[in-house]
Amino acid sequence: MAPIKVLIVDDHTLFRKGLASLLKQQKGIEVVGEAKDGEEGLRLAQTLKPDVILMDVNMPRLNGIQATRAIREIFPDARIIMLTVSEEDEDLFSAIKAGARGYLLKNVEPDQLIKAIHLLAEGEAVIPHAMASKLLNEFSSVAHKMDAPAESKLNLLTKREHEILQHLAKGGSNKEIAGTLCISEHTVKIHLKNILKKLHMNNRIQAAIYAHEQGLVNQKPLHKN
Amino acid sequence: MEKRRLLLITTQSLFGTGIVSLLDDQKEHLVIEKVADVKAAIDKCETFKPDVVVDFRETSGAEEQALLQELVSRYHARVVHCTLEANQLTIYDKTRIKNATVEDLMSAVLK
Repeated sequence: MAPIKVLIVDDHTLFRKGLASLLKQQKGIEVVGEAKDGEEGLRLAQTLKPDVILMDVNMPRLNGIQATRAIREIFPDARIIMLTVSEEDEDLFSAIKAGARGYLLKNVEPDQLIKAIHLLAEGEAVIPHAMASKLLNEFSSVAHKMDAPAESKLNLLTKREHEILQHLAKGGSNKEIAGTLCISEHTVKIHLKNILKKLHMNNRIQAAIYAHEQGLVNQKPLHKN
Repeated sequence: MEKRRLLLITTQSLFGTGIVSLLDDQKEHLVIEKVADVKAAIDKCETFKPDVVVDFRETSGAEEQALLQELVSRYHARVVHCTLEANQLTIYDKTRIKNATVEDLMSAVLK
């Protein structure tokens, strides 16, 4: 039987190299390539056509969720396991929505990962029990919302995120927004990252355009709890 | 050439096992021993007398930091902390190498 061809996409060099070295010793697994970000992962997925892709979530240039979505658009049958330190529900849900077939934390034991690679190659999905129940809850909540009137994605934002998006849409830089709201620039960056994630957008320009389209710029500040 | 004596503090995590796998490629230059925590490392130092101690564990509280310092001062071993979260190598406790490569790790261990 031909070995399972595996592509590793991770910007943490030591983790990636160590994992590759570990997997190369496994019978039935062949590491065909390594990529240091989502963009390279997308390129290598097209040229190497791996059976299974191990994908980090937080990476420069193109993150793991964007890369997963892009790869699945080209190869709808691509089998991708997210391998990440992120236990954030948002990352889990986004990864599954993007088309990942598995989600494992990097503190997993080597045997569990090897088993997951084999399962994925056989067409199974791999989600740890604790995460599977989160997914079921999310699915149930989404199903419930489908019966309710359509809501704007803006409702997903917190009051502070609303404020920041409003300032962003008015052309404010991170520094200016930080000054206006009396918070640090770093905090603005974190809020902005969360805003982009919730709105499924890649950059601040897209978010600003969306805010304009939604009439957010002319709205009074929100009074959410 | 005399082999370097390397003591690894590691759990069976994916990261730790992967790094051990990388270091195994250098077996001709290294004598490797493994322990699970810093206390065991200090005990092992008495007999093993490592040149380098590499700690791959993610959690390292204040007490463990103090024990690592003790390792540095008592045994004059080079202590290298290698983290998954921060993506950096710390060569105790002066040098921090961000986005560390395999070459950085080998250099910290072998030179």
